[in-house]
Amino acid sequence: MQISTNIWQWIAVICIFGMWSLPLYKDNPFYRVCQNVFVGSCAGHAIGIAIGNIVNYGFQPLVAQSKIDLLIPIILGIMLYTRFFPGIAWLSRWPVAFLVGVGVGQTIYSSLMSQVINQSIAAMTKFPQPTVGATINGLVSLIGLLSILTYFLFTVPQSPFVRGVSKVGRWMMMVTFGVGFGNVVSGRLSVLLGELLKIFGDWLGMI
Amino acid sequence: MSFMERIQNVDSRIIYILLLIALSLPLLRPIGIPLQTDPMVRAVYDIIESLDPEKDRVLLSMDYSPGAGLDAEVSPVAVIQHLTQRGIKWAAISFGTTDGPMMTNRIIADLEAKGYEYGKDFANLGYMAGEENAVRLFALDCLSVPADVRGNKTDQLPVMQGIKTIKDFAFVMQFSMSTPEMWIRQVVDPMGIRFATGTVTVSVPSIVPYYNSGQVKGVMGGVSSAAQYELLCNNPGKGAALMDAQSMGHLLIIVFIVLGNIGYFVMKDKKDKAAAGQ
Amino acid sequence: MRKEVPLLITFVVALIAMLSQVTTGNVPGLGVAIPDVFERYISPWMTVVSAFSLCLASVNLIVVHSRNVSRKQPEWIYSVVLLGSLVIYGTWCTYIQLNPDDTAASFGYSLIYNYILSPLMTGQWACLAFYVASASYRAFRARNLEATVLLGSAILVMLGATPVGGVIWSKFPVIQRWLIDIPNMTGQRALLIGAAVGSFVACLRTMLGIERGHLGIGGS
Repeated sequence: MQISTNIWQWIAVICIFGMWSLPLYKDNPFYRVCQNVFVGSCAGHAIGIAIGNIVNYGFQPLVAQSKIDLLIPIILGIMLYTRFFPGIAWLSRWPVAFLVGVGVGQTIYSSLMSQVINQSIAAMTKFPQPTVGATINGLVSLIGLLSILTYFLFTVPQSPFVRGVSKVGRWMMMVTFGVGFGNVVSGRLSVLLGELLKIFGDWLGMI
Repeated sequence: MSFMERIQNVDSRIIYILLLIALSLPLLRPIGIPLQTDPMVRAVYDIIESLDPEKDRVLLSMDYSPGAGLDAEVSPVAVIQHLTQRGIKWAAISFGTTDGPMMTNRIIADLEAKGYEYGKDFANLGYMAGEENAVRLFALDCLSVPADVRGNKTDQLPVMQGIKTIKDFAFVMQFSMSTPEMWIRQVVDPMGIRFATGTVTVSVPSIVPYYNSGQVKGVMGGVSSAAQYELLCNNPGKGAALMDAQSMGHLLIIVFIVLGNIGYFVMKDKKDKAAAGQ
Repeated sequence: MRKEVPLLITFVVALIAMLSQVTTGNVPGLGVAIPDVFERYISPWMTVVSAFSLCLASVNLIVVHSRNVSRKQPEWIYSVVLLGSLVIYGTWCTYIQLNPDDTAASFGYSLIYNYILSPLMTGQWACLAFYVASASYRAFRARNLEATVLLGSAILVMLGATPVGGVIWSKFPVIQRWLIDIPNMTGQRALLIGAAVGSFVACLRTMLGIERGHLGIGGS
């Protein structure tokens, strides 16, 4: 065991223990300080990066390359902050409308193409498949997909057949959520393990 | 209070301490359980093996923040190590989070310490705001990023010579903390590029349909995928080191689930009997 | 002016963005191609406006916590801590963004980023592992057949995902792979399709001004 003499390693470990003090002990001033430093530093970092982007993609091309049209987004960007002044707060709707407009316009076609059409094409399994196993898997996939989609059909009469198909869909979704939960456990443990690696490895020098 | 009731109402902190012990012991005393390679991880490895170091360049979209810890960080480290070992030049850019450039800088600092040259072997193009829109803008015109994080003009970086659009990259890989929809919608489907993704373990189930449809050519998910990748490259690193502890953690969680359910059914049985008695 | 202009902006910009993905060549009579208009103007503008929007939350935070400090609200001292760290990180990060060739400043910033901000963030996320363990013990119950299916598949995936599962029984990784590749893929695909259809409808409503929640002027 060789404890690190690097002051920064000590600071990092103090920060980790500060955050862990909430679940391992209880709410305490040490945790509160760490929490507020965390929120403040994240917000400060975002401000720095944002100003860098505003300069690189806005002011610099406007001044150096005389791209006068960039005045429009700069004015729109400034208008976002009118929300902090009640009298002219309504002006912030314009840049929000612009942001939402671009987002909506870009998603409306591409989400249909990538997530509905291409996924539907991929789901159209040809039968029979080369092996029995593949054929069964293809059938499970096809029936599962149709049954889950049926579960979300609320505008058709819920006949016994539709209800039966929906039930298959519910079972399929339960398996999906189970797989999801298994992966959540795995992912969360990995994050914790990373921290333990820092504590035992970088700080205590035990690994 | 009966034993079962006490077990059911155990202090959460005891559970936390048990978890810490279960994870720490294998970290300190590794067991070395062998790993099996996932085909989705193998696919990423095969793509990088198929690249030509002389002419092919790779774009890495670094869209993860330090919050996801090693679960997000080990995959890009493993892939970048493979790229540099093979002498393949790469550029990194971030669209999804403002933390991306700092995460890239961490990896670059290690590479520079090993003698690799910034600008010639790799570059960090920083963060571009706008998410989905920025991805598309960059894909259509890679020189829309005026400078890298060190202030070098993008068009003067050796690694970016001959790159105009995203199609000039032989392979694009996104490392993120979620699913790669923005890349698939704006670039992969409209422009037909070779694309793979590295993500956190939690997001892997949601990416499988894209892998199945061929929109994503390979998937790396969290520490276990990184461990497999490190072993494929004969370069065991942090991923491989964590796998024994990961196993113990999983076993403990399963034990918790089983114990919790035993307690639940015993208590339920007692309550049912008491209700029947009344 | 207060309602109509934002609705018009949303509609026009969304129309250009949408058409830029599905049209080629010049618009008859106008002599301009919509993809060009989008690529040359709308898209770079969006980058700038998005960059401005990144600071919005931070500015809001400054306003709220400055008010806490000036009115000496309960626990105002923590607001001082927050504002102090925000100013340090904000100033330093802005400086290195505007002076990227100052390597000493960049190195200094990477230290406070890698050894303070990063462990705080990861430490916070790591707490989720504790809560997942606790939830597994307290809440993950086989109350009915459907919950049992969920529980069973979760346990099989956990066993198959780690090397120890393969040591216990060689078929665990095979079962885990099958669960992820077939039932999970099917479920995720159905959810993906459903979400995309929902997203399409929501986008269309927003574009046409039926949905106005984002502007804070109420729905239809």
